[in-house]
Amino acid sequence: MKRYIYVIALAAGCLAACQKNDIEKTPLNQWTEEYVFDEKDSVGDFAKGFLIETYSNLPTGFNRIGGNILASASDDAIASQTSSTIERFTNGQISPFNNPDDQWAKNYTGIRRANIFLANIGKVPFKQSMITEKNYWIAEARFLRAYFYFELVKRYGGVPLLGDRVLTLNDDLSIPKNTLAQCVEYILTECDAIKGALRKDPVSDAELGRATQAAALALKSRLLLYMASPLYNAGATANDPKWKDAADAAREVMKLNVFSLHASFGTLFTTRKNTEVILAFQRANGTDVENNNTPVGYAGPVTANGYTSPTQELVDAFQMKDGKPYNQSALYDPANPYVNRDPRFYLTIFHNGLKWLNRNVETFEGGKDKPGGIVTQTRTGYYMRKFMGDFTSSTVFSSQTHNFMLFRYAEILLNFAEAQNEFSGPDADVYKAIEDIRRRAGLVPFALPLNLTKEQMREIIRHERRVEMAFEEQRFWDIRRWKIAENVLNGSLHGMRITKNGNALVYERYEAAKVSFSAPKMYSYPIPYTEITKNRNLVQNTGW
Amino acid sequence: MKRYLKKVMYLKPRHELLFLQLICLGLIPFSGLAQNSSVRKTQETLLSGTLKGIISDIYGEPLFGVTVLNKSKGEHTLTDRSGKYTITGEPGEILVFSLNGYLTKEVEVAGQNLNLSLTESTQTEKTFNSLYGPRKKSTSIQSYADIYSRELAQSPTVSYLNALTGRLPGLTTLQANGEPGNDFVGASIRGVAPQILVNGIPRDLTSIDPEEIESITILKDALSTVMLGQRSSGGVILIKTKQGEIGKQKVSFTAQRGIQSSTTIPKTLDAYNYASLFNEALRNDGKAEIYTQADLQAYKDGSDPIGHPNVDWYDEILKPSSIFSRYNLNTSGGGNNARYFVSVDYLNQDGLYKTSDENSYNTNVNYKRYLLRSNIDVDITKNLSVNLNLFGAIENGNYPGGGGIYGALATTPNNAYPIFNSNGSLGGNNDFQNNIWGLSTRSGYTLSYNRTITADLSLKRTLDDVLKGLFVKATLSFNTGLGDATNRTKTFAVYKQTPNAAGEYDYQKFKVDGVQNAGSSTNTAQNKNLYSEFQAGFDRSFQKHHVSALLNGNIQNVYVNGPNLPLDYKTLASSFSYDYDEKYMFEVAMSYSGLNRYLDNNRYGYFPAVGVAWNISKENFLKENVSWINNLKLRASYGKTGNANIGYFVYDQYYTDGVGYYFGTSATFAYTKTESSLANPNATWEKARKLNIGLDADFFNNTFNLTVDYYKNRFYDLMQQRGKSASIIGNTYPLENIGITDYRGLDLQATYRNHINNLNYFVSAIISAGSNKVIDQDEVFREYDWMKRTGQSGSQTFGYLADGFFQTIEEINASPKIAGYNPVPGDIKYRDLNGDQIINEFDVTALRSNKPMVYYSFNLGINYKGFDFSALLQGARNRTIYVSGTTEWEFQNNGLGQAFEHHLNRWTPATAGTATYPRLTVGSNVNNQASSSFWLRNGNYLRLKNVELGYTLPGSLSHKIGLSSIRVFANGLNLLTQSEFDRVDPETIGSIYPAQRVINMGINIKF
Repeated sequence: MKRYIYVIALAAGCLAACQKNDIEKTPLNQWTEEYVFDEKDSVGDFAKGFLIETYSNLPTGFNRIGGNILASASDDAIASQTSSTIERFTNGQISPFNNPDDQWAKNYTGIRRANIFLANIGKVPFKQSMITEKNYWIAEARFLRAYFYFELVKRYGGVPLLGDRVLTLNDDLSIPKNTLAQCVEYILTECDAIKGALRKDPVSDAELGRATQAAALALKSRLLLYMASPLYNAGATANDPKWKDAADAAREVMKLNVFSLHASFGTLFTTRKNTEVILAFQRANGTDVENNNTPVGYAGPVTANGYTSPTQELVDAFQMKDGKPYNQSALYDPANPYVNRDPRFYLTIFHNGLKWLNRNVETFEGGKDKPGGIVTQTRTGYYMRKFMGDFTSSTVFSSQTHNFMLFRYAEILLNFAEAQNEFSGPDADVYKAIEDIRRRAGLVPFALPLNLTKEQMREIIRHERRVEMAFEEQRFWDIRRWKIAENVLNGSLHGMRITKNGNALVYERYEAAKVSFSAPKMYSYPIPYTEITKNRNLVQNTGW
Repeated sequence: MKRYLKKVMYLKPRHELLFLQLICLGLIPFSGLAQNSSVRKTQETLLSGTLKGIISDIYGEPLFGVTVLNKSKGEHTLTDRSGKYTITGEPGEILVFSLNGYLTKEVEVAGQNLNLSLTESTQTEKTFNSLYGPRKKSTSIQSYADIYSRELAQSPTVSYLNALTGRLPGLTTLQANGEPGNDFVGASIRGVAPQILVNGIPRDLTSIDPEEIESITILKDALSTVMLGQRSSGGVILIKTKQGEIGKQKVSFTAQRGIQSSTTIPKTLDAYNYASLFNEALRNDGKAEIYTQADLQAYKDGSDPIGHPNVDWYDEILKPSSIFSRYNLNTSGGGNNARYFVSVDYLNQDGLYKTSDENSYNTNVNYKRYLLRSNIDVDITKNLSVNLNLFGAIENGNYPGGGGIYGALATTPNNAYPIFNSNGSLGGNNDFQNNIWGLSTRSGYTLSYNRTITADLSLKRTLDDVLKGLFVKATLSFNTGLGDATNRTKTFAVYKQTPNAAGEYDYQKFKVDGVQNAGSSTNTAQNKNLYSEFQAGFDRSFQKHHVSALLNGNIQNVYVNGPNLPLDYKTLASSFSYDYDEKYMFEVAMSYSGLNRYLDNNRYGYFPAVGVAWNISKENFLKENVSWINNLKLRASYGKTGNANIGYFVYDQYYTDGVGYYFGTSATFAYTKTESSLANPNATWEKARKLNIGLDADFFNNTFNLTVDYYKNRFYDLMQQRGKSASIIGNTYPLENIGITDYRGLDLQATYRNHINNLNYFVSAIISAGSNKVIDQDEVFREYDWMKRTGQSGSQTFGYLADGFFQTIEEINASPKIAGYNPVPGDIKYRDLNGDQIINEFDVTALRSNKPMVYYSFNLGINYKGFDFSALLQGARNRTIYVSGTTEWEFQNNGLGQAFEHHLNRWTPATAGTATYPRLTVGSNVNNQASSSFWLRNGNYLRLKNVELGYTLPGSLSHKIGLSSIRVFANGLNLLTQSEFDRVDPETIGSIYPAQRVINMGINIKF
């Protein structure tokens, strides 16, 4: 009998034993730090991948806020869908609890990635031929980090600066804010430190999209321009040196003599590599911009969501073909308001009668693209056309390049003109910068009137900036730094009601949306309430 | 007969009904006869004054120990081993036959020979199933509750879990989905998800037929579960399947067929009302109306069904009812050396979707289940026995190819589009490209297959030859499950029909008619589970001292997800219990348990529990003085349990593929690497300290039983993200051992069981009351106390306190408002808690009551001469439902959404006094749809959960055709529901397949 006991005991023991050690102790299919920053890989392949991922934290542009473009929170456009989250910017509902463009976490994620890269890249034993590349990468990581700080600073003002720290769970995470000046200083110092270490422009075809020397200079240019502007430079006197710094920074890009305006405004945004782009958020080819913004009546063979409704205010900003404002030009015909406009108008805005996908856009009341009823449709009589390929006579969309421009040369010219005009008045360089843009636009004549005053020139530059850079996430920040948001975003934004009367069209402006802007608090974003409660050393911005 | 029944098992579905009808028809003459047999009179006249007979169960097996009482004389006797008895009895006197576990029978003496068969009752047993074997109820300290096969089978449900609702104190269920194949309830024990054990082995099986289950026991306190180590915190559902018993072969066949229908269907607005209210909402928004008087008229009179459709989607897409059928055949028996229980089960459940003749395939939901079980015990020698349990399940599901049908039903307005255009094409438009009829019938279908096999082998050796009372046992078990699916879906086109100038119609096409996919996805679900266990036990009495000890070591490998490494549990557990004369009881149990998901040096946890009990009724002062108390046991247990709520090797920092980026003129995708969420090298198991105080009592000759348990459980080291998770760190925070939550409550079960002559009856009440409270969760800074989450229930909802509707402009001007929102009369008014004249986050507070949630039920059973009836009422108190979203609010999704009958009671200037709903608006509304107490509804309900009526033919009749017993029955599930919030089923809320009402009929044959 006893042998049964032994049999059972043996069996049980065997069962226990044979299950041992037949599984991995930890999952060996998971990447760990030593794989990414590989101490045996002399080309640093995965380390490179880690850096590239950091690029994906750059602003993505286009319809990024609940299907809407950031311009729909400015006086350039409104969202076609009612009750879109982006309306919070114009109806006073933005708050520390609710901000549809909260970029706090995204940019600190980018900063962490850059810092991890910088902290660990030294572990990778690059071979001699890779050292140059490695140094480029380090400079790129630092550029990206500076760019992420800029994204934070323009929204929130001063934010906590982390330097090279990679924060851990055991750190004291109640980090106080640095001042705006410290943050700006940090970004500028970084830009200066890396501008020589970055790739020179133009880069090879394969490296297109890398942060280059010009990108660092462009970042500096925009930052200094912002900092010279009324919002940040309240007590500025005439010839304020900050304007000079800004003008010099822009001139530094111009002096590279690498960039020029792309010949055609129409193909500028769908040409991946061109002479104008300095840095863009790189994306695969696709049709998402077309799908999201094509007038709704085209739905069926294509997706046509028509999310963006440009305002009459923006339409009015487009001059006539002769370079004069519509209300000062003989070319303007109130019964036919869309002919003979600035050629950029037709590449920026869908208006009634513009040809698209083999038919004319119909935004008259009851037309295919403004059918009435509850379906999402334009609220202003216009749709956004910019960035799209030319599908005038196609039946469906084909994939297009839709890189989102972060810096392009036209902005540098505009930055320069604005700063130079503020610092020393409308000199010949200012004239040339603006006229170059107007020439490329196709205005005849493109030349500006002679002997403009500084104030007149300021208005022209601001106007040019608005139409040239429409929907490129510039106006939203421009009306803030110029401190004009309280004027242009208070009251009403308008649309054009087009009524078909037989074959005649009757045009009538109407109030499309009520907007409000609460100055001064809305000139900066509130720090997210959740961050304030999690970090008691973080002080909320004034007014919020 | 047996062969015939086996054949029936595999009849095609359309034959099932015919078969059932034949059986029912065949029964009518029998039931007519049955009414004649009232009080049974004995036929023979022998020596007057004495009476003899044999008492057996319905299978003819003699019953030992039946009490035979002559009511008139007060004499009584017991039956012997062969079921025989002798007693004095004159004609006209009443004899009472009773045995624990059987229905009591009273018979009038009318002769001198009286043979009877007794029917099993739901009477409680003397033992219950503890974690590793049966225990005596009388000496148990553990907190448990159990239910037996008979009661389980009363509910016409697919999963045994659904049959537990309202039947076990401490266990609560929630049925959140009613779709066949997905309708399992979520069960929790004392507020926490339990661990399921089948025949002593941890595994999550939901598809076990109630007919093959002998009992389900829930274990509730630390003492009863602590031996599970890392899985001991949540309570246990312990399923024991039937085993064969010594005796002649028993065969039981059950056929049943039910009709299922939805308990409630949302009441949507017809097109006319919809359009009218829509216009009103637009006016409220300051916008132009979009429906003209002509439109409204067309909706009203239906004169233009294409241009102005009015489609009752629920009516058009769903059938009023569907069929559910099930067959079970099982047989058991055995001799001295071997015993067996074998069961086969087939179930076929249809869904509610209408189908179309144009398809050669089925697009309705359908769920078919085939189960096979074989449990065999063999005594190899006197001391060595082997037990082999085999189980196999095949579950096949069929689903329409288009998903989200219930979502579309709930959100598509009746006037959205016609089902069909004039030319027969599917209607639709840019906003509605998923015609629901297209979703349900023109999207192809998806088949899902799931297969499960389990096998348990155990050897048990009693070692009485070494030491009396000692045994060892070894168990090896595995189960494996595999799911795959065949995707035969396709896309369909819809067309918007508009009249053109030529007097014809234009059809604008959206999407395309696709061919069917021929995809198959293998491995949609996979699990492998290997378990081995070694056990040694000792159980012996020394005079009045009784000692029992158990040592258990087990290893389990659980593969739950294809490529992942298995969970590797290793547990060493032991228990020791002692009682003195069943009067003073003491038990200690513990486990040392580890899991491979923790760092090497921090892998094993120690979990102890202890309990004591005192049976006061055994004390002489009570025993001698208070005769109506049969049993009164006080017990208490306390212990520390564990729960391995750990992610996938979270202690190491991992990197993963990033989203990638594009460089170069050719936009080459660059593969990237990025950090996964932050590692937590300190992660350890969650723990609980559980206190249980209980009382077991039997009064009045054991007719009244009461069990009450109070528990206070502190769960701590709960895995959660830290509150102060500032995003400046730049990555996702890991779960850390932070949270502390207290659960406390009361479980009560009271049963009264008695008989009036031949009417056996019982009434039973069950209460499971419990609440939980967050003690710590690393809460972030809150400006005001009312904002704090700590101290509230874990399932608390936070929002504004609603204060009715704004009635006038003056009232609005004088009131605080949400920033950026300009209220108008008819909007919801909120309370400004901090008095800053703005309604914002600082005015958010707890909305629900923290009162304990009470689940209660009443169970009633009557048995009278072959008739049996039972009813289960089940309800919940202190329950609240938060309603929101597309199924509650009007014109959601930017005005494309549905509206419902409750919107007719909206606020308008005319109805300001009686309105129950705010003024209507289109799309989202920042003010009215803010999280607030306005949307909190009373979630209390009371259901007639289950009723069963059965009739067992008199044995004399069934014996004539060679059967032991024939029982016909009808039962139902969710028959009536009374709830204050009655627009939807109180459990299935939202746009999902609702809970089903089932009315079921069947027959059970035993031979």
